[in-house]
Amino acid sequence: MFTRVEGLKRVLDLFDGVPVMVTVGACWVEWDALRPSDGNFALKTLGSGSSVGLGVALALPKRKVVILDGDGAVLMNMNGVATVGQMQPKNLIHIVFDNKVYEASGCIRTATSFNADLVAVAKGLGIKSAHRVATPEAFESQVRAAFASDGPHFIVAETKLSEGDSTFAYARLEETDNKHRFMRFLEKVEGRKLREDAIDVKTSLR
Amino acid sequence: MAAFDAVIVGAGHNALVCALYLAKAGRRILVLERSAEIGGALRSAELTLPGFVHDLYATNVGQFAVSPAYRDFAPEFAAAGLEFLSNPYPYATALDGGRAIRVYKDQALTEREIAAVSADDAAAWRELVGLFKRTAPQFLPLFFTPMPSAAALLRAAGLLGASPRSAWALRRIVKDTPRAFVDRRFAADETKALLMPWAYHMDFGPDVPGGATFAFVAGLSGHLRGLSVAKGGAGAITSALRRIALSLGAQIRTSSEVKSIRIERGRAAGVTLAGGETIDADCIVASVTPKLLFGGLVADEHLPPAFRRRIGAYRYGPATFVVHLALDRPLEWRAAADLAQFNYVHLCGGTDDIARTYADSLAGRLPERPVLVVSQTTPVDPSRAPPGKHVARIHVRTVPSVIAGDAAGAIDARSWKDAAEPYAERLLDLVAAQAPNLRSAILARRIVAPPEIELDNPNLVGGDCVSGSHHLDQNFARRPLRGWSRYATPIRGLYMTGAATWPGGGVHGGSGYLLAQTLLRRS
Ligand SMILES: Cc1cc2nc3c(=O)[nH]c(=O)nc-3n(C[C@H](O)[C@H](O)[C@H](O)COP(=O)(O)OP(=O)(O)OC[C@H]3O[C@@H](n4cnc5c(N)ncnc54)[C@H](O)[C@@H]3O)c2cc1C
Repeated sequence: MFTRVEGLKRVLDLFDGVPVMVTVGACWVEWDALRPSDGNFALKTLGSGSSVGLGVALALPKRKVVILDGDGAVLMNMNGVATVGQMQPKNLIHIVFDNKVYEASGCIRTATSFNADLVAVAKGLGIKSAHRVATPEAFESQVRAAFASDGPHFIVAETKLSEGDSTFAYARLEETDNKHRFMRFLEKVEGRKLREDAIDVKTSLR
Repeated sequence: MAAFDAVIVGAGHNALVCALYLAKAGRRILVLERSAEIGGALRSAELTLPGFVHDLYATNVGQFAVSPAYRDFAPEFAAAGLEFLSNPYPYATALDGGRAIRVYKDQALTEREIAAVSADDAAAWRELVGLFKRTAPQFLPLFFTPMPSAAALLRAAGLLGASPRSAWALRRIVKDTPRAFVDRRFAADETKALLMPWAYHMDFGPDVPGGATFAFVAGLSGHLRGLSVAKGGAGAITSALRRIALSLGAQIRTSSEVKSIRIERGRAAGVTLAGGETIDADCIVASVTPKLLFGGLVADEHLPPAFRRRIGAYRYGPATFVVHLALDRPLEWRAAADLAQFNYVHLCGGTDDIARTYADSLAGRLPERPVLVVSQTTPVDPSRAPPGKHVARIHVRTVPSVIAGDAAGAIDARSWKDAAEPYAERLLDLVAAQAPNLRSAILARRIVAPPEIELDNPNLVGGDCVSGSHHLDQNFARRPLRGWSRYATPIRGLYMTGAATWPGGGVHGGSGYLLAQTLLRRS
């Protein structure tokens, strides 16, 4: 087993211009420190990674789109994975760090520490390229393979608890700010405007 | 040897200022911030729509531009791209019946404006301006002088020596209530309503002694220097502080909450993070509000009981409430077209209305007509919004932290979660009465109620925006406590900084600066 950071450090070079949806909690803190970028989108709701990531992947079919997720989050919203299986976005790479606990809320065990097998779930939901990795080397080669081939890809990485600090990142007033920056990042890497049709300026955001 | 010479808990701007001085002196510094963002109450973000940059908390940051930290690191701040902007239209007050009174940077214009309501008031205003100009060079540096100290005494003596009459007038202002301060000088309600809100920005109801200082200093410096915002957003100051700190070798870690301060043989030895990690340091600087620092991060058993009791009685002021607005076009003020240019438009009733608002806030009632600070930022800094669009905000002084009732008897909700929306409507109604195009100009809004403020930054207890009341018993040599106003604590090696310490709330880095001088002198 290895840590998220150990794994991610090995594949950082692949992420130039890649939008990344990141699950709540320590994973965000680590990733944002590894790759500080407006292309990091902090998911607010546990489990929304597959749904948000699917939307981004469908909107930007020529670009690899990555979800950094957790086992607890995937278990919370498996229907999102089912929709990925249904839509088959070629460019989506869903990485699930499976540490078998809800790390941010006191390390309560999740179903994967009992009988659930997320690779089998993904396969059953129609994602053919679903793999389990347990070493940093295997993680690296699986992620590189996913970047080099059509997906959707689903990679379950068996990781240990992050070392040291796993402080829960507090609710951020800047969430909306993150969204706007993320959109600008997409516009920049895509070289086209996405904004007008994406936002209904008359909506009150409260 | 510990890994760090100093660990600084919290990355508010005072903490960062302190880090700058210590790092520059070659100290090994680690700053630990619990939130995902640094800056505390000094941040900006696109809270509503893309391209609309809102100052989350502090917006009028002119104090920083005249602070020692800005002076001492001027080249570094310039290299970081920090700029302050102001315009000739600092502040105005909009009164009932579509009237307004305006303070320009221009003195003659301002006098003419006041003379239109009262010739005597215009003369009294000129006299007050004179007093400020004569004494400010002597007394403003007091804010960056340790309290109490020989240096502070010398300054005060210098004031007395230079002009006993001015010194006497100042002494009276320091003790005066805001009401006495304006009533002593002015006849017209309009003139009084120009200065009363400045005392109320802090938690000074009209009848609280000591509030006159804030009316005098903020009102007059705003007039003569103008109000300033940071170009691109208040967060530009924070980003610059970060950049300079990092370039000097300091380390900053976010999402790292300090849960406790380790004390060994009566001395602070390190900190323990929420995740269990421990970090050793020779000295700990905490920009954590006294009530959470003592009895929270520092266990009671390490504290003398009398200190514990006194710090437990440290008082926070009533809360604040903010509505951020993205606007399609400028507000059209009934009173005068040029009000749209003013950085701050205060909306308030007369002195008695403000007194009622204060009493209501303390008693838990939602005020019927609170004092509103409408800040219009885009006229000063057009970069805050897409071309032709605007940002503004309604900052409410004051509301209760915990709701027991509604002074207007219209809102039944007793939690902020349910009251925030209807209360925001009340505020919008109050502003719309003065600027009828308000509602149609709103593209988006974001309400920030007291619990969200405290959740975002636990130093703002109950949503008190200045981290503890600045009434006379908690200010000057008594901030936060008499005997403990010079940043030391009963624990050796543990120091306090931040708005709860002298010189108090606001964006000036005064406390971080003074603490750094103390620490560097000591070692
Ligand atoms: C709505 C509003 C409007 C304001 N408007 C103005 C204005 O216009 N002009 C002006 O001059 N001032 C204004 N102020 C006041 C001013 O913003 C503050 O007084 C000032 O920013 C406080 O700075 P500070 O150094 O005390 O630190 P803070 O800003 O209080 O920052 C402290 C930091 O420490 C962190 N922290 C706390 N506990 C821990 C812990 N245990 N571990 C790790 N980190 C921790 C917090 O998360 C926070 O980031 C306003 C304030 C508010 C709320």
